[in-house]
Amino acid sequence: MIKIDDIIDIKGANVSLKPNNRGFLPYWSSFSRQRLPYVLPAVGTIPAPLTIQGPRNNPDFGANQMEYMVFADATDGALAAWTLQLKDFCGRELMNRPIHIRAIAGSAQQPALIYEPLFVKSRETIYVQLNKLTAGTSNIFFYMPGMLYDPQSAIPNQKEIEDYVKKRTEFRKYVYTYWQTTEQDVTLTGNSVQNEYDIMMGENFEAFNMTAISTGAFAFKLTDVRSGQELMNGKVTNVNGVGNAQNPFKFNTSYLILKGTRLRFTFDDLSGSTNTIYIAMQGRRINAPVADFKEVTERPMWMQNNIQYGIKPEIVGQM
Amino acid sequence: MLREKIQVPLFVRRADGNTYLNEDASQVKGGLLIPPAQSFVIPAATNAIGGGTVGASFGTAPMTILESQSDCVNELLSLIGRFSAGTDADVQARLMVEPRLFNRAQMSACNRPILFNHMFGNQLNPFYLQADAGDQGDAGDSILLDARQYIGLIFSNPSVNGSATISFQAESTKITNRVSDAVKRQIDAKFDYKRKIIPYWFTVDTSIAPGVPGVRLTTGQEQYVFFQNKENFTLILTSIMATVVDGAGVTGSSERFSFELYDSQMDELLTDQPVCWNCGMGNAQYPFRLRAPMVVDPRRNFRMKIKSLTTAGNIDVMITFFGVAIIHDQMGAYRSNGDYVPNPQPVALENTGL
Repeated sequence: MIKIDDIIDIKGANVSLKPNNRGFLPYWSSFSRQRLPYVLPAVGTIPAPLTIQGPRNNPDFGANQMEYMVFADATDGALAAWTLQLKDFCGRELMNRPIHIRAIAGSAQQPALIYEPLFVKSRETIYVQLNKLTAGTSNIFFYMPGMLYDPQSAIPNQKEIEDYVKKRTEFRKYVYTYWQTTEQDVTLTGNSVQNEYDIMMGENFEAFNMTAISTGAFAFKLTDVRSGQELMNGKVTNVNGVGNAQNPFKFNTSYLILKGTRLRFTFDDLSGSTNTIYIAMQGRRINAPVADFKEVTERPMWMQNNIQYGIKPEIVGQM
Repeated sequence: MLREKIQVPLFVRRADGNTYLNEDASQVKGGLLIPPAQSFVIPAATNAIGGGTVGASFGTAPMTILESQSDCVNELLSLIGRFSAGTDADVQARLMVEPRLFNRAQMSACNRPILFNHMFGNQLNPFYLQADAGDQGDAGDSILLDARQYIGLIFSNPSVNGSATISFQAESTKITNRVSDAVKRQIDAKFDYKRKIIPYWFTVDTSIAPGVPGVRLTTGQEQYVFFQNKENFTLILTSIMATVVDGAGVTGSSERFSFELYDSQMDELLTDQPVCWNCGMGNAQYPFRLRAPMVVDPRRNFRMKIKSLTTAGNIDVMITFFGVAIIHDQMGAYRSNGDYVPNPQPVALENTGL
């Protein structure tokens, strides 16, 4: 995100614009070659994947940084029931399984923020698979607003914008946005307790928030299976423990879950009838070697600090 | 952070090595500024135009002010306002307000009258003048009022459907004149640049009726609207808000309209696809924060293509951008590439050949 302070200079009583102010523009990305609203077929019919393309403003250094996810369902309104699965330009999955749209996308008034923005360069494509969960077709709108890197417009400072694009291009090889959900569909029978569903971490994952959409009330507990460590000292109800995409439950401190960890959700149904739950954690995958605890503690203090904070590459900058 | 808040630490450490509570901190406190009258009524407009709900003669109220107390400096951070007396939706959606900054010699903080619900949030979600508390993005800039300085607000009601009773307030940080010199220096530094940056609301050039900014779309109609910066300052826009008023018998998509936005400099399209109302525009309580600001040079414009998604009936669409205006010396302005452009001088008659 670029703020006002990033593009102005204040020196005493003099306020001026920095030359780079034209290098970043707001931008709304959406499906390419697809008229909106898109008619999403009813459950049972799997539509062909849709695509979102990078910008065409500059073949080498044009890029989109998608930072929000928003949708509108002109048919079902607030009861929109469909899932979404995203694939990166290189076929890399951005979520382990499809995620409910209301657990991942908001509206213009309360957009869902993508904490690690999705960076797409010119001539790159990301793939979107949608699936309706209920009967009847839906007329849907879907966008990923963010900002456009526009080096050609920032003639005096073109190089600076190009450098940003290069850095982000390198950075996304190792760190990219990711959503984690349970490995199986979660359906609880009425009043059932101790239903266990797992999440496997195929890569280091830093979680920022947790959202859930369900057909009824539930309580849950989260456990790290390998260490047996519980993340809460009792079961928490969905009202107190998870939000939705518009108002997610943000972790006070981001939750770093190392590769190979198995997280277990233990659900109790509180609704008294069949309860379908779509739970998701938003964060980013970090493909970096992990220094083990012994190695860290045996090093001098200044090196310990380097290791602790070295996981986040320096090139993150203010983007 | 260039425009950081005034820093007054809660604790100070003295040379003796002990930590003490800072007396200065007790002189900087949160507060609310309210107008002299707690609430006031704006009568309905008269003489409906074309059988619609907009009148030719507006209901108006005398200008009301928010004034800083005599013993302190106030920094206005957010605006909160509400209607009462059961005014109907049409009145709420059409009420307009024009802020005047008297600390800047009556300069208007908007290009045209702005909708009430694009300027005032509520107590749960105030309209932030500067950045939000959360991570949702940047807003505009706070207003710094010296002792006895004030801003004025002119309300008008162009709807013929009823009167409106209004109350409003501004959330502020109050800094009394008993603070230490160190804090006073920070305030002075802030006043220096506050003369050059003000919050600014920016709306369309077209009108639904004389003096009512907005655009009226018939079924399926597509129209370009322009946002013209006619002033001698640069705008940095960070948020978009929109309100739709349905005419009689409107049917069709609940999204009502879609838009395509063009950049002001290169006329570059900033949307892949037409963006529907609720995916691109918010309101004062939840403005849609742009992830990169839009810069509009002095005396330049940009355009937006709006399309009605209804299948029957007319809709009135009112769109407002919010951000800051960078005021330049009276003689000129900075262009977005950093160049300083002097203000055109009045042409002397003898040079015109007349």
